[in-house]
Amino acid sequence: MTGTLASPKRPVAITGAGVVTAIGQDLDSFWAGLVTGVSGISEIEGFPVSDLRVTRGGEIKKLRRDVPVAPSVGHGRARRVVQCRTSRFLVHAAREALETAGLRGALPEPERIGVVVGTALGGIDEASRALAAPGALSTLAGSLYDGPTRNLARWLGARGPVLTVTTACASGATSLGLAADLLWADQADVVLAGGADGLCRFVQRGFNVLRSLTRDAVRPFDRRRSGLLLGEGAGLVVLERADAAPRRGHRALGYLLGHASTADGAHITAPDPEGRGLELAVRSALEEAGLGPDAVDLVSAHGTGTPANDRVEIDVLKRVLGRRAHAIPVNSIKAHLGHTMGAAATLEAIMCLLAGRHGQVPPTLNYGEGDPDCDLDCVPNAARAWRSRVSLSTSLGFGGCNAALVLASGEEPV
Amino acid sequence: MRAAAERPGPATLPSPRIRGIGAITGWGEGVHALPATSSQRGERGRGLVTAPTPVLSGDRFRRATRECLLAVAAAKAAVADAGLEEAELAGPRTGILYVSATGYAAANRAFLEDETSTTLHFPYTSPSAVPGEVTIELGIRGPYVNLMGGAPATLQALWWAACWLAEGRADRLLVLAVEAVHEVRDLFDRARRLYGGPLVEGAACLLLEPGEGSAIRWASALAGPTGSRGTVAAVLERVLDGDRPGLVWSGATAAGRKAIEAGVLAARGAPTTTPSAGETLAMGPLLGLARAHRGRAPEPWLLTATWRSEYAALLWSR
Repeated sequence: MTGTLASPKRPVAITGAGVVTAIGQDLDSFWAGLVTGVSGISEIEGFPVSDLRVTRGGEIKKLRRDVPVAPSVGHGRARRVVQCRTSRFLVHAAREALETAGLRGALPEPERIGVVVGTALGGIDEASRALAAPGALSTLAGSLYDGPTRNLARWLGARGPVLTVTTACASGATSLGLAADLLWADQADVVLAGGADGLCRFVQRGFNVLRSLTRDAVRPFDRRRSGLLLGEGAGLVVLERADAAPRRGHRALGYLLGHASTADGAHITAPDPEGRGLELAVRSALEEAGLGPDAVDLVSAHGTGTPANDRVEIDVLKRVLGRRAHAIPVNSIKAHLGHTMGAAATLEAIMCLLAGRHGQVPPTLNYGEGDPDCDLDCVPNAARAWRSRVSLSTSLGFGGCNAALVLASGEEPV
Repeated sequence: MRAAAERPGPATLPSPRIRGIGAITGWGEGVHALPATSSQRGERGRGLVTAPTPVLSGDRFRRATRECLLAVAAAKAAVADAGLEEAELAGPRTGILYVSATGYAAANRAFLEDETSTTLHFPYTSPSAVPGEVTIELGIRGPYVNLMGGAPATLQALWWAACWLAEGRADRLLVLAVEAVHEVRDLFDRARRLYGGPLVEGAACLLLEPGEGSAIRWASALAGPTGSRGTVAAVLERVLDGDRPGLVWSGATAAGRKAIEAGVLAARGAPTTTPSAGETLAMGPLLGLARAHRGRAPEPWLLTATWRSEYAALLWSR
């Protein structure tokens, strides 16, 4: 891919964002939790886990009970939704994203609104109910992978392109990239994009049998790291063409400058030991952004806390960024939230934008012993004052999926 | 926001060149095995046309699910049909777009219902395991996206393939769709009334390369509160943009939407819709394109698709 793009694409503005996580269900509490080192990890209460080896995760204990009234779109009829847990994450995040974008009540016509959601699990939590309830067609439809995406589109009243992306745990980055492409190609004027997944017994049991979960704390980049813990939530951003926000007097949260999603072609669950696919994704995203390594001020790593992931990721960052890799913060927020799967990359992208806005970088929690294989500045345990403008966010997932985003915070594109 | 009249039309890109076709369905191997008429489909009383499990050599495939094996077999068939060596696809210049409506259901159900499932099973519940096996088998390391949904998602994937090839992100792309229903047939039987013809399992794969000149256009929309009529007409209007298709492959299944589509196309003098091979879900547009390509049908080719409340269309030329 390197050297093949005719010219960098125009940046796309991120005009709003919304989150639902175990440490906060709005941007302010999410950010406060990140910088003060709040951990959302707790004993799971939402489903039976007593027979599992690991019983903790980043579970959202008290999801807001109210279901947001849908924005008035097109014909003006408000819609209400009561659906699966993942769909509820999405509509709560969507409400905040639209509000922060200044778009509630100011949306374009429904045909020009797109929805792109990344997910690793889709409506799987509904599947057990569908299996147990013969004849319930609506439950069956909700259990499909695109169930939550469709519910969000229905709630929003969107009638433009609707996509469900599943590049496993890189889905939340791939979705932002595809959303940007829809805007570049004039297939929509506003795209609500991001990722979501709900913690459920299906996935907790799955990662248990894989022995990927740790009974210790999640310790990204630490020599003692022994695995991940799962989390849940949603992250959504509003993407628009760069000139849209200023025209309505709104200040952008930041910009998506470049993106790429690539394959490893190496293993179904483990990353390519050489990280070739991830390296290509990072180089391609930077190239699309029209930026070199020296422009990067901050890296939000996938940083799951598994021995293989963190080593491969750091290796790739050193190869691509060169000396710059040692001069900038490289953090992971998975010890705060758990691995939120389809939501992870979008939440990390939002973290990058907030870091630029606030002049602070959230820490990597639970860091104690340095690993020579992960010898970059991971912002151990305490937030740091740091001016960042351009950030790089990396993600990996089952099936050999890799994704990279290059983002700029602030009101003007780089 | 700009008023509708001020907007440019849908993005136009060169249609990619179809270099290779792989199709392994319940009807048999290859495009020629697909039935041309409903009587050939023998659909009376036939709810599901099951695809056989391909036999692939290699210890690695001992753990792979049926949908993974179908995917790998179809991809290999497309490469062979293109006259390429598999090694020629290895590396960062080949990408893959994968689409499925059902390709995860059997693995997920098995894991849900069998609490004794092991380490070997769980990774295959992820939809990305299916294209993942293809990338491993062929050494593909280029652009990679998986979309979940029915035939409209495949039209999206084809449009994205055109974008990526036009931008030079890859030299070759595989657009792959897999559907496997047998193990979850009872679930899909609940939605029987939503399908047109028997459900057909299998895998379809097109190997695409950059095309020259002729345009591809894509549009998609969800039905509005007043129904499908306006949606179908608007989508077709955007995609046709004054052109008259030489061939129509319709994925519209519900009788009402089918009639609306037929009416809109008849008003534009479009030819009769070509028969489908049954309800092939995400495979449908790839099989439709493959048939048009093999049959050297007059261009451009119009493909339409529906899934849940979505209606999409794609115009393709050689």
